[in-house]
Order: sequence, then C-alpha cells, then structure tokens
Amino acid sequence: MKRKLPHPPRENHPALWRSFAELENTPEFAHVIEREFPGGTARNGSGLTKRDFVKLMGASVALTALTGCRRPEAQLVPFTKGVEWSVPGKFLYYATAMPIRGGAMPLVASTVDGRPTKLEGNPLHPASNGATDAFAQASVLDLYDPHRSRAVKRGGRDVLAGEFEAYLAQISEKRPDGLAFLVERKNSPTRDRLRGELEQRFPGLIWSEYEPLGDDREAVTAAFGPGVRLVPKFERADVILALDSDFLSSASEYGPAYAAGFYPRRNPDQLGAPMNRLYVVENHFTCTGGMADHRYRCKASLVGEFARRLATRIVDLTNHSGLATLLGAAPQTKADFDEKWIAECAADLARNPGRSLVLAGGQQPAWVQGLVFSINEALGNHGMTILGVADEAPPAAPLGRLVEAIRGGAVKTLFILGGNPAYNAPANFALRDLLTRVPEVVRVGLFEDETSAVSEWHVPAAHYLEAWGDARTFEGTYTAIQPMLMPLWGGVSELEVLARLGGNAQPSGLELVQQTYRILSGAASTDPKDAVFLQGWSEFLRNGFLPGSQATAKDLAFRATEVVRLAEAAAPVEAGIELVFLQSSSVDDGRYANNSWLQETPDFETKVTWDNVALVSPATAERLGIRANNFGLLQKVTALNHEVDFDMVADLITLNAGGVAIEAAAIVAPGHADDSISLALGYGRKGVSALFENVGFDAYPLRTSESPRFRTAISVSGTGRTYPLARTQEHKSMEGRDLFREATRERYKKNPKFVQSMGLVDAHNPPTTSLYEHPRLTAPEQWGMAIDLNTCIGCSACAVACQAENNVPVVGKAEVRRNRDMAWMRIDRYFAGSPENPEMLAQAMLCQHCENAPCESVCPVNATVHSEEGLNLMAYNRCIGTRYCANNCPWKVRRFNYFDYNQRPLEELYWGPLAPKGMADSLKMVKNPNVTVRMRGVMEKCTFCIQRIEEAKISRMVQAGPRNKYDVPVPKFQTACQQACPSDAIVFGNIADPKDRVTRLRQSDRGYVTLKYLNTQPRVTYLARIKNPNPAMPDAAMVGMANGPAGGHH
Amino acid sequence: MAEGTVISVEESARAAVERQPLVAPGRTMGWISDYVSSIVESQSPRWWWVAISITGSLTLLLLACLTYLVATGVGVWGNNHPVGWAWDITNFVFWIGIGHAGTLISAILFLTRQKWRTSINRAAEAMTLFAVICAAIYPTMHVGRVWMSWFLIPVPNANGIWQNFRSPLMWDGFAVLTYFLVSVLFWYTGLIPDLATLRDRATTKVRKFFYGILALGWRGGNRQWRHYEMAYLLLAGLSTPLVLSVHSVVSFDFAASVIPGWHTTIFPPYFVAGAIFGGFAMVLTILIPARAVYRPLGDLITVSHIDKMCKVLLFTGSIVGYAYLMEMFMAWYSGNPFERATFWYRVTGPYWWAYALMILCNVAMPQLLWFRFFRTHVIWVFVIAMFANVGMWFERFVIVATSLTRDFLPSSWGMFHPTWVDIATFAGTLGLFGTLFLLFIRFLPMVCMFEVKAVLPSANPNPGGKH
Amino acid sequence: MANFFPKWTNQLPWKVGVCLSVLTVSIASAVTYYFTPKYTKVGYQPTQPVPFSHALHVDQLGMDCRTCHSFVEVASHSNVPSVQTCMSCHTQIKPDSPKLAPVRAAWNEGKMDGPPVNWVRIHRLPDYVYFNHAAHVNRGVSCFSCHGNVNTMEVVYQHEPQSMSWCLDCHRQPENALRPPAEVFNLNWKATSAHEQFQLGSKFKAEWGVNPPTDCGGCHR
Repeated sequence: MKRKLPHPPRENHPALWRSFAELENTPEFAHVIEREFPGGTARNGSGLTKRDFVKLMGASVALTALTGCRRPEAQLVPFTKGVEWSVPGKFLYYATAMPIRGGAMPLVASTVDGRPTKLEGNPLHPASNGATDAFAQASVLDLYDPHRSRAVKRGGRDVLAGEFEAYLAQISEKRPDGLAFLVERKNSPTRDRLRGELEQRFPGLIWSEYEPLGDDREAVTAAFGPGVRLVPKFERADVILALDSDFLSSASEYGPAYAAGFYPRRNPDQLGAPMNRLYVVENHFTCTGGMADHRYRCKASLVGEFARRLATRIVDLTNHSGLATLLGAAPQTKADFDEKWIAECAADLARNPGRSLVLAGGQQPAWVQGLVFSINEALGNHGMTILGVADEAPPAAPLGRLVEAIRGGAVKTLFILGGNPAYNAPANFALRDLLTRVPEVVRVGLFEDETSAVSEWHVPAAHYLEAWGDARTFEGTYTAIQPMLMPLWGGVSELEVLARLGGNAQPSGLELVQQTYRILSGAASTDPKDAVFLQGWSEFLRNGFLPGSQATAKDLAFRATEVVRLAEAAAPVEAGIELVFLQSSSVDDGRYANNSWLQETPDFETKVTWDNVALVSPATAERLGIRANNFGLLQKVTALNHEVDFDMVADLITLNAGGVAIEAAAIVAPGHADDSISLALGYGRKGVSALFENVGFDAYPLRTSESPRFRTAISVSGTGRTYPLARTQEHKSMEGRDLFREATRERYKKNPKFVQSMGLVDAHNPPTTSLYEHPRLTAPEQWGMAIDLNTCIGCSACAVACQAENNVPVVGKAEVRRNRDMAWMRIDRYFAGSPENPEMLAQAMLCQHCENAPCESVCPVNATVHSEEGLNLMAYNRCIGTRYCANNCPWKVRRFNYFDYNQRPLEELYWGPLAPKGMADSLKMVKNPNVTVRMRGVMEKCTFCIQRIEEAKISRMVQAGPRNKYDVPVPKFQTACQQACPSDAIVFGNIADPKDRVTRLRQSDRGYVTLKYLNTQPRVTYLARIKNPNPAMPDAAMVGMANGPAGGHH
Repeated sequence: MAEGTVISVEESARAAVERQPLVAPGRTMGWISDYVSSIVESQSPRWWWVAISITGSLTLLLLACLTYLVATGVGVWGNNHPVGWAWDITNFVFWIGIGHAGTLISAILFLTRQKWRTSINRAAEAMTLFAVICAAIYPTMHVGRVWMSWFLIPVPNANGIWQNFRSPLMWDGFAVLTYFLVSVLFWYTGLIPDLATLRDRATTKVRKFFYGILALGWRGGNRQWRHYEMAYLLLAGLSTPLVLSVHSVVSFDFAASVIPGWHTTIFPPYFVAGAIFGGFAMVLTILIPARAVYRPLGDLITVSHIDKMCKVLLFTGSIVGYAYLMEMFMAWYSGNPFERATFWYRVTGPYWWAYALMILCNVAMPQLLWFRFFRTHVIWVFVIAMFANVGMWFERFVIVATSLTRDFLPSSWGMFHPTWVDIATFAGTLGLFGTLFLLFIRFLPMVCMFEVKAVLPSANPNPGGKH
Repeated sequence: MANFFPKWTNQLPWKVGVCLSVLTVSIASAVTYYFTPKYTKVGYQPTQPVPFSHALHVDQLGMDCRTCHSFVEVASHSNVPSVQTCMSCHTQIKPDSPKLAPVRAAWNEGKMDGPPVNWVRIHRLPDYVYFNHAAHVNRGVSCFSCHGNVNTMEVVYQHEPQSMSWCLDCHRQPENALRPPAEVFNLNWKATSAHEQFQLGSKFKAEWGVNPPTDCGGCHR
C-alpha cells in the first residue's frame, strides 16, 4: 500500500536534512524505501523485479548466476538517485522513542541504508540515562518479524486498504452512536488531542484503556486527587522498603532513568552520600530482591497485612494520627510474620524521616497502595523522596466500564487499537465471547492474534519505528517518536486511524505530531513554512525531546479520608495457596511472545528459556509432592550435588480455582515464599504463530479483575506427567569457589582489601609466574572492562544488546536443551545460603580477554590470536572448528556453531542439506553489517565489540589525516553491553590510560579477577558486592555471606 | 577347544621344569610353509563370508554417518558446551592406543631378542595399521569445517599465515602420521620374504603376477638376506622411540591444557602404558579366535605365547592401576580445590559408573592373571582381554568427556549424552577394523613363516648345545 | 626359476616411472598455482554495460577520482556514482551517445525510475573482510597501490591480487606505499627511485604514527 505524504516545501537548511521528516517526504525516497521491501509489494502484487530490489539496496552486492564455480560474476548496483545523508556503509543516527505503559523510553536508532539495525538509549534526554532494557533492545527484531500481519482483512478475507479507509471515512461522517475505543496505555499528547476531537465529534464515545500489568493510578488518584503522578527520588532515599515492588526492573514500565538514582547510592566508595539500605518484601526473587540488604519472603496476598503490621509499629514510633485512623479501617488477616524483622525495619524507617522511601507494587490492591502512601506521609517522605508531578494524560474508562457497556448492548462499533484483550483481559470479563456480541469490532494490531480472530476487521498496525508519534516520559518530558522507514507491510498507525475518524481524509502522522508540537512548544507561528518553527521542530527531532517540557511539580495533598474509604472496602485475604501473576522477563505481558531473542534470553532467576514455569518454595514443593528433578539437591544447595543435566524435566501440575484449571510445569525456586506459586503471564498461546506453539503455559484464565496481582485459595494437584525445560544453567551453588565475592559494609571498612583474601587458591598461592616471557603488548590502547557486581542486577539487557549488536544466532528450545545456546554474554546466577532463604548472586560473564589466553595456545591454525591492544581475537574465516579452544577456556564463554543456525530453519536443523537454505529477507535486514554472520562449524565469542573499536580508531585516523594519529584522541565509544546497562555496572575503556574510568575501577580495592591463580591475566575485572545490613535485624548475620561464614579463606 | 586345553595343561606342567619350545614339537619347516600359505591359497570358508558381510555393512554405515556429519554439522553428535570433545576424541585415543602393541612387539621385542614374538608379530602389526587408520578418521572428521582442514597442512597459501606450532594438535598430527608411515614400512619389509614364498607357490597367473610385484623381486639370495636383516634392524631401531613418542604426544593434547583432570604431567607414561595394555588386549582378542578357527595355528601361537602376552597385560595393567592411584593422590596432594573437586566428581559424580567400570576392567580383572590357571585357559584370557578393551575405552571417556562436564565455573557445567550417530559411527569404525583384518588374513600370511622357521629346533645350528 | 611376469611387464617400470613423475609435477604446479596469491584474479576485465573509459575522463579530461567516487574519503565503501552523477554532465555532453543508453534508461528523463545500471564488479573481497577506503586514502595510501593506473585504463581490470598475503606485505612495510597526501589521488605520481620512496615512506610513517594492523582484528570482525 503506497502512502504519499504531503511534503512541506524544501528549505536549503542543512538542519532540516538531518531530520528524517524531509527525507521520508521526498517522494523518491518514500518510493525507494517502500519498494525496498519485497513484502510491501508482494501484497499489492505490483511487479517488483529483483532488479528494483537490488537497485534500492544501494551499493550492496547481489550475486547473479554463477559464470564459473570459482569466479561468480558479481554486480555493483549504485543508487539511481543519490539519497541525501545516506553514505553507503555508514550509520545514520536518529532520535526516537519506544512507547511504554508509563510513558516512553527515549532511544537513538542506528540506521544503515535506510533500515534500523540497533537501538540505544538517548543520553541527551532528561528522562534517560542513555540506557535501555532487554525489551527495547529486542523490539527492533519485532519490526522485521516475518510473522507480522500484512493484509487488511474483513471477515477473514483480504481486502484492499482502500476499503478500510473508506469505512473510516463513512463512520466519521455518518457519526453513528455506540462508538467505543479500547487502547493500550500510552502517554501520547497527539493521541489525547485526537481523542478530544473525537469525543466532541462522537458524543457518548467510550474511551477505555487496558493494560494487563496495570499500575497504581487508581490508588494515586484516590489518595492525591486526579491529575497527579508520583515520582520517587531514589537518590534522596537512605532507607528503602519495597513491598512486592520490583522497582529496579521498572524500565519496561517507566524507562531506565526511573530508578537510575538508586545505583549511585549503592556505591560504598562514594564520599558524601552514605550507602543506602534496601529492604525487600516479596514472594519470589526479583532483580530488586537480589539486590536487597534484607529480604523477607511473604505471600503477595499477605503484603497488605505486612504493611499493616509495619504501619502499626510506625504509629507507635511516630504517633501519626492519620495513619492510626487508617489502621482502624484496614482489614486484618491472620499471619505469623517475624515481628522482630518488622519492628527493626520500621525503626530504621522511622529513624530516617524524609529520607526513607516505601514502595508498593503497582498491582497490589488499591488499599495497600493507600496504606503505603500514608506510611510515607507519616514518615514525611512526600515532597522529599517522593515528588508529585502533574499528569496531563486525561483519565480513561477502566476496562470494566467498557465491558458493562458491551453487556448492555450500548457498543455498536469497537475500535481495538493495539493490545490483545481477547487473550489477556481478566477472565471474569470473558471478553472473547463478549466481543462477538459487538456488531463491528475493528482491530489494529501487529499480529493476527486471538483478538483478530473475533474481530470483523483486522488491520496491520505500523511498528513504532514505522510511524510518527509522540509521548511523554514518566516525568513528563515531551518526546518525539520518529519513523525510521516506511511501513514494511503497509501498517497504519493508530494516530492515522483516529485522525481519519476525525474527518481528516489524508492524515499524515508527521503533520498530526507537528500540530501537537506547535501547541506544546507554544510556537508563535503555526505556519509550516515558518523558518523559526521549522528550526525548533528540527531541533526537537534531532534531540528527540522538547527541552523544559517536564511536567510541573505538584505538592502532594494527601487525602486520608479517601484512603480510609479504600481500606474499608477491602476484605481480609483468604488463606491457602496463592497464585501470583508475574510480568515475564522475556515476553512482558505476552506482547513479545514472537520475539525469538527474548524467548531465548534466560529468565534472570530460573535461567529457563522458551517457557514460563510455576515457581514453588522447597517446603511447599515437598508438601505438594512436586518432585522437580533438582529438588532433593536443594536441601543442600551449597553441598556437592549432581543436578547438572540438560535433559531437564519438570513435573506438570494443575492449578485450580473457581472451577477453572490450568496446567503448568513447576520447578523449585530457592527463596520463594511458602504456600505461594508464581507464574509469569504471556505464554501458552496457541495457533497464532509458529513461535508460539508449545511455549509455556497461559496464566490469564485464572486472573480476575478484582485482584490482578494474585489469586488466592488455589487447589494444586499433580498430573503425573512431566514437561521438558530448556535451562541454560541448572547448577545453583557456587561450590565455594568465590567467583562472586561480597562482604558487608562493616567488613569492607575494616578490611578494604578483603577481596584479595578470598578465592580458594587465589588467596593462598604465591603469585604465579610464567616460565615463558610473553611478548609485551605495546599498543597505546589496551582495552579492558570492569563489571561492578554491586550495581549489576542481572536484568539481561546487556545480553540482548550483545545479541542485537553481534548477530548472535538463536538456536531454539531443542538445542538449548542440548546446551548449545550461543549467548556471548550471559548472566551466571548462583544462590548462597539456605535453600529456603538464600541470597541471589548475578554475575555477567563474557570472554575475559586473557593476556595469556589458554584458548590461543591450543588453536592449531592460529584462528584465535592476541592483538597488540590486548584483545583476544577470533578470525571466523580461519577457524576450522576443532573446539579445542572452547575446551580449554576456564570460563566456558566460547560458543560453537554446531549447525547452520543462520541458514536453516531451527526445526529442520537435523535435515542438513535437505532443509531449505537461507533466511527471510526481512530478517537479513536486522543484521549488523559490521559484524560477520558466522557459518556452521566455526567458533565464536565476545569480541569486546571490535567493530566499534575499529570504527573509532579509523575515524581517529581519518581525523588525523597527515598528522600523527596519536595526537588525536580516540573518539568516545561504548561496547553494546555497556551502552545498554541501566545500572552503569559495565565500564569499558583503555586500561593503559591512567585517567580512564576503567583504569581507576580496576585498581579499586573491590577489584578482583576470577580464577586468578591460573595466571591467564584476564582483562575483565569484577568489583565485589558490598551489602549494607542493619545489624539490629534478625537475619543480619546471614547477609553478605555468599563466600561462606568465614567470608573466604585467610 | 577341549583338546587344546588338554595339550596346554601338559605343556604348562612341563614348562615348570624346562624351557618350552616356541613351536609345538613335530612341526617341520615344510609344514609351516604349507599350512600358513594354505590359509591364503584355499577357498574362502563360509564363516569368512558371513563375517565380512557383517563388518562390511558396518563399514558402509560408517561412510553414511560421516557423510551425514559433514553435510549437516557436528551437532548431529552429542557434543555441546561445555563438552566440546566427547566420543570423537575418546574413540581417537582408543584406536591410537590399540595401534601400539604391533610395533612394540615387532620392534622392541625384536631388539630385545624375544623370539616368541615371531609367530604373532605379523598379525599384531597389521592390527596396528588398521587401528591407526580407524583412529585417523576421528580427528579428521570431527572438525567443524572439514573442507577447510587443509589449513592444518603447512603449504604456501594466499593468506600468508602458518599453523600454530604451539598447539598440541599440530604435534599430534605429525606424531601419528610419522608413526603410521614407519609402521607401514616396517610391516611391509617384514612381509617381503613371505610374499616371495607365496609367489613361488602361486598356481594362477594372477597370483603370480601380484605377489610377484609385491615381493619386489625377492630371490632369497645371501646378499638380499644380509640387506634385509640390516634394513629390518634399522627400521626396528627407528620405530622403537616412535612407539613411546606417539602416545606421549597424544597425551599432550590434554596435559598441555588447563582443565582439571587434563592438566597432568603424569599423562605421557600413563598413556603409553595404557596403550600397550589396550594393544595387547586387542592382539589377544584377535588371535584367540583366529587360533580357534585355524586350529593348527595353535602349534605356532602356543599357549606359552598367550601366557607371555598375559604377563605383559598384567604388568601394564598394574602400571595403569598405579597411574589411577597416583592421579588421585596428586589431586589431593596439590591442595588445589579445583583438581580435588574434579577427581572427587569422577568417583562420586554423575559419571561414577564410568569410573567404576574403568577400575573394574583395567585394574581388577587383570589381577586374575597372577594365576597361571587364567593365563593358560584361553577362554579366560579372551574374557579378560575383552574386559580390558572395554575398560580402555572408558578410561578415555572418563578423561576426555567427564573432565569437561565439570570444570571451573559451576554455571557452565553440563552433561554429555551420545546420539545415535555417535554410536553408529563408533560401530562403523569397529566394522572397518574387522573388514581390514578379514581381508588381511585372506590375502596375506598371518604368521611370519620365515621367522618362525628360524626358531624351530631344526633351525638350530648346534642342536646339542644349550644357548 | 619360473618367470612370474608376462613379457609386456618389461616395459612396466619406466611407464610407471613416467606416469608418477607427470602426476607429481602436475600436483606440485596445481598447488603452487591455486595456493599462492598469483591465482587471485589479476587481470580480470569483464565487459561493462557502459563502456566507460577512465582513461578519457581522468587522463584526458583531468577529472579527480573523487568527482564520482565521492565518499571515498569518508566511508569504508568507495561508492560507484549514481546515475544522477553521470547525468549531471551528460545531459549536456554527448546527451544521446548510444554508449550511454543504459544510463539514459535509468535516468528516464529525470524521473530516475528506470532499470538501474548493473556494473560488473571487479574488485571483490570476501564478506568477512572489512576494508576501509577512508582509512587508507586519508593516510597517504594512493588508489594506485591497490587499483593500479586506473587513469590509463580504457576498460578497468584488476591490477593487484588483493589476497591476504598481498595486503599483509604492505601492512608490514607501509613505507613502500606511503606518499605525500597531495599525491594520493594522482595516480601518475611516482617516487624517482625505490630508495627515495623508502625514505619518504619511512619519514611519513614516523611522522604520522602509521602502524597498520597486522593482527586479524584489523580486517576480520
């Protein structure tokens, strides 16, 4: 479907050309891009010949018919029309943003030959620390997903997009009543503006927003009045208590900058700000729980009760009347907690009024939220560690109201823009059947899924990298969402749909956003030709945001009475086993179910790929007779155990509540709360796409609108059947090997060099010296890395970033089960302590780039050698695949291509030459052109992003020209993992430069290298983790003991 | 072979008081030529056809598996991360080990004037060559890109880079090739006089022609004999160090690494002893059936031969046992927790059964050979030899694969599970080995006729005198 | 003794000898040919869709390489000019020469949507080799070093083997190739003597801090 965009007259203004707007609007380029993608034309059947395709791939080379087996004739096909700003083989960077539930994640997209290949955070943006999360990193793969829907369908038949446009036009002029919208939660001013226009055009229109993973909006509105949003200031908090709140992995909700203030306060070496203390109360291990100084296992359904007990203690300490009255109203539930734990925690909070911070998970019941707000009120944290900002987004009807309207037959035409409510709406709404009662359901979505199946219309949606848009970040900054290319398969953006309904016959996303921008920027002129306006506009696009557009601060007027009302409405919690619904670390709420990068990224805690599993505590598992195959060993996590086996199977159990039963594979999770079962949402979808089949278990059927977080009174029974799981790491114990080192703050103070006394042999052996004198590494740049275990939360953003940057292949569940995953960067996860309540340790593991690399000496063909700059190089084209290097690597970070993962379909790997060869064109486009795509039979591993290193060095040479290049500094660059890391835990640089940050970190007291005694001289330094326990706490003695009670050997 | 045992009992009784002859009494030179040649000259018996059709089809299976492997990827085997080497290298070391006895018997026993070698060296050497051929298949085919393995050969090339001579794999390649080459020469040189005999006895033109060519115009003149003896002596001297070097070098593949369980200085002697142990076991495994099929051979390969071989088996088996102990001791004595853990896992870990099997077969069973009873009852000898074969395979599996399943980082520990291709490939090499040996006994004299004649009493220039 | 061999076998030894020697010689020569840089397609000179003459444009008209290969100084690729570039002159000069037919077809009266010009590629490196033009031409390595005297070629052909060892020769002794920055795009420039070239090269090498990578990472990523 060819989309012509009206295009503002050209100014010879260089800045303009930077903006993608003009580029896209030059019809030629639009033509170029749209024709570039075979999918787009395959649909409207125009004769796109290979020639055109080749032409438009610019200077890329296409092998034509072989003129001889040794000298195939290749062709060199230039652009017919040069494209401004695109230099063949050079990246172009555009600021954009990824819309997320709580706002937007500011991004910079690298595009080459007009196609985005990699996303990074936008460091200029006030609401970004330049980082991203795993979802953002992988979202670029969704863009090219060949499973995306391509055709407009009406009643299941393909129709031309024109018909849909006509349909919208007809609605917009006929103005029928009974119009309703069901949309995803976003914070897009343009969408709000169009919505406003529509509400005037269609009186009685229902505008409903639904997110399976909702947030605390309801409670906030109740407690502080409408139009307010809370922004916690972690950098100001000395003591933090997280009640079932995984705020450290909230990037998918609010963006990485939301919790960024937390990490600097974890640094024990920082002068001035004291190290903060983190208490976490949760039912299963989250990234936040892994970072906790004190962690308390508590059923999610009892978190409210826990908060109540805590509040009573705080009342005793603060005599805060408001809180006291609220406590009267709050429901009481029988539960035996460690009262000393609560008392001491409360005391610690009370000791730090205005410098403490209590957070409740966004999905906890409203009254719990309210209770926590009033605790903060009592502690005087409002305005100190919690700020209020204006929330411009107008309130929307909750899904419940829409459902009532449908039941009442009031809804005639329902527009479902994005989302997948038929799959993930609360079970008690039975939305799937309900939708069939609506005469006309129009669905705009990326995939033809459950919702499309019950919709009259299915319209392919444009990916956010394909369409104009805008958003407000969590703190309100107005942010641009620029398209990087024309929709590959003719998707439409929701803005255009809304605009058409608003009577705009030829809407252009660009103009729609420009109008909003004019309003928000207060641009004097609204004339598109106005140079001043265009100047500001191109600035806006170049930076990706409108400076100074943060939401205005609002002081928080706490409305105790409202909160009391919430509490009175609440009922005590039923006893028995609860089922807790988690956000999946791989597919979020199910929206990324078709993303193979994320599917193969191990869950940070269980290390399970391609599935979601029900987590149960050791005790509960024993009681329920769940014999997960590694159960017996959990009794002695730190003892030697024999659980290591990739043929891992887990018991299938049935979870039954209110007559609805689901099945799930259960594994035993150390540190999980008893009588509680956790299951991630978003899996177990059937018949939608190849990737969905037999992947995980669907938890939505048990989820109701009353309590989205948990379901109590679950009856569990075994099925006697087992289910195969693919885990990248089964072993839990560190076997006392001190690979991960930690200590308490006290110990660190007493003995700053404690890390040196740890490590079995490292501590004892005299410094190993090598008989063979290695040639000195002379180059002025010596690359090295430091990883701070104190801030690494194990979120896997780095791992996915690495996969995106380095074209790391996906191998599929079957091969992961055979221990053949290809991850260059992995997160090793260990548990230390008792299996019931251990510490969780996450350690990013990658090639250590040893100076005396064991892998190098054993390669018979010199395929892996050392560079002058201390890099451990891997020449794929020289490798013959003896695998000797991998065997001899103590860290086992080398990965071997056992099959042609890039060339053969994963389900037919074993068919060899009989399987079809080659990959989908759209998937070729996501590959990084600066990194070789490896073939079968070669070894690969982390290269420290050598492509970026060389890029930087070359640009220095170009800059230097006929001068000494060493007078010119190497331009700043980061490795992919470093750039993605939301907690700034990874630092890469030149260790030969004493001023470089990495050099200082390597020399810091906490710095150590793993397996030092092997004398391989690793270039990766780890910084030991420092915990900050409260000595008064009952479990204080167990904190910071990952290396055993002695804390390593002496 | 009831009567066989009867004889052997008498013999062993006599052996107690006097040195027994190397050939059963009453066998003349003429008989030796007639009988040994007749094996080659007579029609192929039915059992031979049966046997070769089995081994032949296994060989075809081997070809099929290798084709599948190269066409699809190493993934068709069970290898994974962390176990990069599994059955492939296990089998390689297994076969190379077997390829030791032959040259050892021919060269070292020759230099040390062990006359009893004469009747077994031919078959043993043949076995050596076939084993080395089977072994060579694995390192060649196990690489990820076989079509690129010419990178291993130092030839001038457009890339202007050379091999990494620090890599034990390079040493390994050279060691094995040299060993194979010299063994072939040695074996062939020893064949020449017998080939001439076959040529002279040949009745058909074709046989005349081919044995004629192979005999290289041997006439048995004095000068030829003098040159022959000298050449044979030199080759023996040349191959003696090779016997020791080749398996030492193979052991460097592991000893030169950093992996606990591989990184050990004890490996060279330990591997050589193991190789001789396994080699002799395989000689027995082959000769005892041959001797059973061709009964009269029992007069040339007498029970006393077997008895001597058993003693070698017992000796080397005990060395191996000592090595196992010493490994354990060093692991403990080193104080290195990684070493200790690895060896602890060997005994108690998920692969304890492999380790136990290895101890049973290589250390426990051979101890039976202290008793003459077991040494002189070929059935028992055969059984014990079979145990040794199995045990030696498991020794290699324990060293190569299980050391890799658990090394430094618990996070990357993982098990190894063989696939059907692993198994079929190994069966295939067994088939190839059998096929080659069956062809050998059909077309070449299984026993070195002229050397055996030389140890007959009638060949003794002064029958009266003791020497 | 009986004679084992028929008469004809008397001829056999020398026949065998001849065959063997022929075999040996051919194998040896095959290896030397295929395994050495000379094998790579030096002199490869395909016919191009447009008989474009560098000799005419560069030598006679004195155009600079960068007129058409405009990104050579900034990008890794040295781009082949777009049809636009050609037509920026050829709308006036020889606008209807039959030789330019394919170019005009692509140009299509300025609509630029015709079939593109499929030039036949001459210099081709494997996908796993990352050569960077900018890094070379900005640092005193002339086009000449890798492409020869393109300025005098009627039809372009491959002048250098461009094999790995060939690259390494220069990366190990850059002084043999470095020339004054001004002369980089002057393909006719030559040092008066090998000695002078060496001295000049060594001087530049020292002054500019030239140390070309000789480990894999320089070109393979």
